[in-house]
Amino acid sequence: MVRIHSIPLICTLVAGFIIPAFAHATLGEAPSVDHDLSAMPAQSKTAAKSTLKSTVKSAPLFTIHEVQTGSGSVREYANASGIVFGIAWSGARSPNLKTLLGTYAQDYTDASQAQARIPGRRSRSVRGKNVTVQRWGHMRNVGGRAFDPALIPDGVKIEDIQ
Amino acid sequence: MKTWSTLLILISTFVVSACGKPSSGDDETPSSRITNGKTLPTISGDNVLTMDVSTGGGNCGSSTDYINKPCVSVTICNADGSHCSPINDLLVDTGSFGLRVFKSVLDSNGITPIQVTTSGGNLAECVEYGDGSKHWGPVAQAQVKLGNESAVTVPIQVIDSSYVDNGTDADCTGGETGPGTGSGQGAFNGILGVGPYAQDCGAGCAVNAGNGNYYSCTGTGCSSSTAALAKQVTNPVSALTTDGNGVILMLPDLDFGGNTAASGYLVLGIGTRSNNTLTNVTAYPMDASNMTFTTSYNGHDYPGFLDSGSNGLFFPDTNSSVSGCSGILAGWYCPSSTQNLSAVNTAYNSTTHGSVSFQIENFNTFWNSPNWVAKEIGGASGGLLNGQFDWGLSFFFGRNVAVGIEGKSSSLGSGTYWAY
Repeated sequence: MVRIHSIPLICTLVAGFIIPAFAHATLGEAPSVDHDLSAMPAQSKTAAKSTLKSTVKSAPLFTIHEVQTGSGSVREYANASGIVFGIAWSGARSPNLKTLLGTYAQDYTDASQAQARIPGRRSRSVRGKNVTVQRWGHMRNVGGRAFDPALIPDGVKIEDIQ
Repeated sequence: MKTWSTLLILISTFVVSACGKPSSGDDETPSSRITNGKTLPTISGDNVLTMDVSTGGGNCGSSTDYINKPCVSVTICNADGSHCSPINDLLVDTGSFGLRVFKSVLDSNGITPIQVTTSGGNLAECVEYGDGSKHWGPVAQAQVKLGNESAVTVPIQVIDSSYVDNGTDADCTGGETGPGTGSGQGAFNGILGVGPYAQDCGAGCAVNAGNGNYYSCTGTGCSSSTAALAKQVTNPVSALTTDGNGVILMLPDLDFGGNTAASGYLVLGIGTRSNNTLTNVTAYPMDASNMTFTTSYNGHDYPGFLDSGSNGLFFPDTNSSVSGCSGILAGWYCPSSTQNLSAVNTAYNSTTHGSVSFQIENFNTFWNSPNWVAKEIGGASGGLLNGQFDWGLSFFFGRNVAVGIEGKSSSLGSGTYWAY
């Protein structure tokens, strides 16, 4: 299980994105600001990762913007242009996906409602027209990821979004 | 026995991977359908509940809803004890905490729990499960009688998807609407969460309003709310005086390929009486922050957990010889031949570990058999390399599995732990 880190506020790293147009920036947009995710206190950090694989890269394939919420953490994966192509979360509860998915939210809702649940499972993958949402876990310990397959940079695997 | 209408609904909604199984075509009574591979010794006592698995009768309600579904009956009363009624078809779930029952079931049995209030409104909760289902509805006090134990008064969730509009805060739309087996329904009357925590959220929800679980509702809507520990939906086992330190699930071993049904026991308390004192088990303390220990499988370490509410063995599909099923059975494993596998469970912060041998058979073969319970069935869990190893009910057959509640001690140790 991904641990929730104790991280100081590094607001300067994300300050550039705090503009009204991106007040609810989410999947497909620039990384969100802390208060987008919920009303709860949050801490964030941004880190550049060349890749999670062993391949040596001179430039980062993506950056990770991590936000600590009151019930876990959310990590937004942005490409070199600063567009979020994937989101992962872990913690006691899932974050509000309606907020995180933004313009993809209805796509997910439609696909989710069209796909009946399978009793007895603790995981589910929902594939919408443009977004895939995978969730797993049990009460008080859940995780998941959401991504737009069309936005994932070359060289990045789905499981890198974690 | 399934009806044509049920079958058609199931086919049209593709809820066929776990329910809507091909009928064995029989009309037998529930008792004669129990053909356990082995028989458990009879256990009796005030702390013992008979636990049926997919019996399609007895404690599991009138229909065989889905495979590997463990069910008990519990007596639920008004908070003042003025009226009680036994409620069957409650899923025994070591992966959740507290009692949740559909409102329609409580209503039809004349049970009226008392609403729990919080600052400015009525306390309600949105619970989500790994399969994407949700339970929305108010939190209310009721008396709960487990077995022949004295009743305990605890907050339960009244599952009611039509409860006052939860607004945009809760994002709990699409909650299960009732106990039936149709689309969007639970396929049970409720859930008895007997996992290793006393409350379904814990300290975080007591101080953090934006917890995502709890809401304060008025007649016009709901807003995020804290919930004091005493107001949170509470595992009724934890409220027992003598037997409140956990539970033991006792299920018989099965024949290879499964059986039509099974029956065992949900025993309250660990080492508190002669009937719940286990020998020859190993205790595995878990990480109390997230209810996991480490399961090492196929060269990877995963967060592992024992979950009777999952109906198979679900683990990341990193082993190419354990191939997946296709079509309507996608998500289950359908290896061309039965696979003999093993994993090592290691206790949290401890060197205690033990190997578990298990098998995965072709789910399509099981699906087309007359059987509803099996040890050798499994499927892929989400997350791949960062996924989880979910030891579902298949793991529990042929074992006594103890679940030690957080902060409570027994002869096996101090909770949280599993022992088997």
